[in-house]
Amino acid sequence: MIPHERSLVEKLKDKPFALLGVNSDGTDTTEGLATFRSKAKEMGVTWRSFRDEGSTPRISETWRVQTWPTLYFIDHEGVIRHKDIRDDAAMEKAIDELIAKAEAAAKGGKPAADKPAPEKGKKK
Amino acid sequence: MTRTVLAALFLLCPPTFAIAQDAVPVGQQDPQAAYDELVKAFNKAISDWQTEARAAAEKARAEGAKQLPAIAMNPPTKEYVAKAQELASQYEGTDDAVRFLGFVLKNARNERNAVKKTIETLALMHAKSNAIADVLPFLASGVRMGAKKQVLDLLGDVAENHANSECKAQALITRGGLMLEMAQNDEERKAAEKDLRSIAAITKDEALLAQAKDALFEIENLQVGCKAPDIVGVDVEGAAIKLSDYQGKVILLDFWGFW
Repeated sequence: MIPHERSLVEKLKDKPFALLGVNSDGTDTTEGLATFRSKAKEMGVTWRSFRDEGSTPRISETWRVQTWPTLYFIDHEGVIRHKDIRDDAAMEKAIDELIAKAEAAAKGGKPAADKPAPEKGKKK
Repeated sequence: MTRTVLAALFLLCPPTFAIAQDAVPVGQQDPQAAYDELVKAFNKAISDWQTEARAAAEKARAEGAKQLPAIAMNPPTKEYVAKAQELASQYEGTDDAVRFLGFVLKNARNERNAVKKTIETLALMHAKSNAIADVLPFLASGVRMGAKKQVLDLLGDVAENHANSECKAQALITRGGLMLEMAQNDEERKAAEKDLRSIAAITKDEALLAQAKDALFEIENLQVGCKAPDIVGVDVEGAAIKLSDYQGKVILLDFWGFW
């Protein structure tokens, strides 16, 4: 998982794409966060993750996650387009298609139903 | 994949036991004491196993292994599942047996036959008992172990024929939840939704109603084609973050952990 995600983030860094995690490693505790940081460094995890713990209910509870990892593919308008595509190649194909649509919408090729959201330059 | 994940979760979350304590002693041994003893011994074995499995997993990771070591997949459930079955037959036909059968459903990991046999016993001898409500939620393990039809038959029997409306409601919510989890298309989701919506008319139990509401939230908001609900929280470092911050981009939202 992580090596492929790392290469995906690298490959798509100039595209309208974000990999966002919801991490359940208990980073709401000092030890949990320390362990997370060291493993993230070791594995090259550079993308942001929500902290799953510490809110009631947990994000994973609201999203009714029953197996980990669970993946949601969300398009530029915030609509869920796929769930749980786990094969590396199939995952990339799905993301590429969604990116193509996002880019077309950004160029004004197809007027989006919602107003195009402003790009946030600083986000990874 | 799922099996790995379940084993990994098991590693993370020590089992908790919340089966109702309403036993009346019968026969030579107090069933409550027998149950408590079983749970205590099981918890100890699991806790020892977790320590060992964690150490093995750390070691494997340090050595660059991609897979979890075998021990992490094999919690020591077999012996305790067998013991619970034995106790269930000792109290055969009584509500005390249901509790031991619940233990089997809840804690079996690789014991397929034990789970199938347990579901048969529940269907045959306990489908009319009020005690069955407590163990219905654990029937998910039966689906995982290839007894989907038997599970749905038992839930259907309780949902339709039980005299107590809380038991009916529990059966409906369990069935609705399982069907939703397994649903491959809209029609199957509709069937799950029907179960989940029917609960409001037959029970006032707040916990059951809340469970139904959560499952309906999934149907209404978390399907392909739904607008993703916003997530407002903090990132692992504690900085504020919202899913909607990223609108305009394609997002791969990944529920994950290192473990």
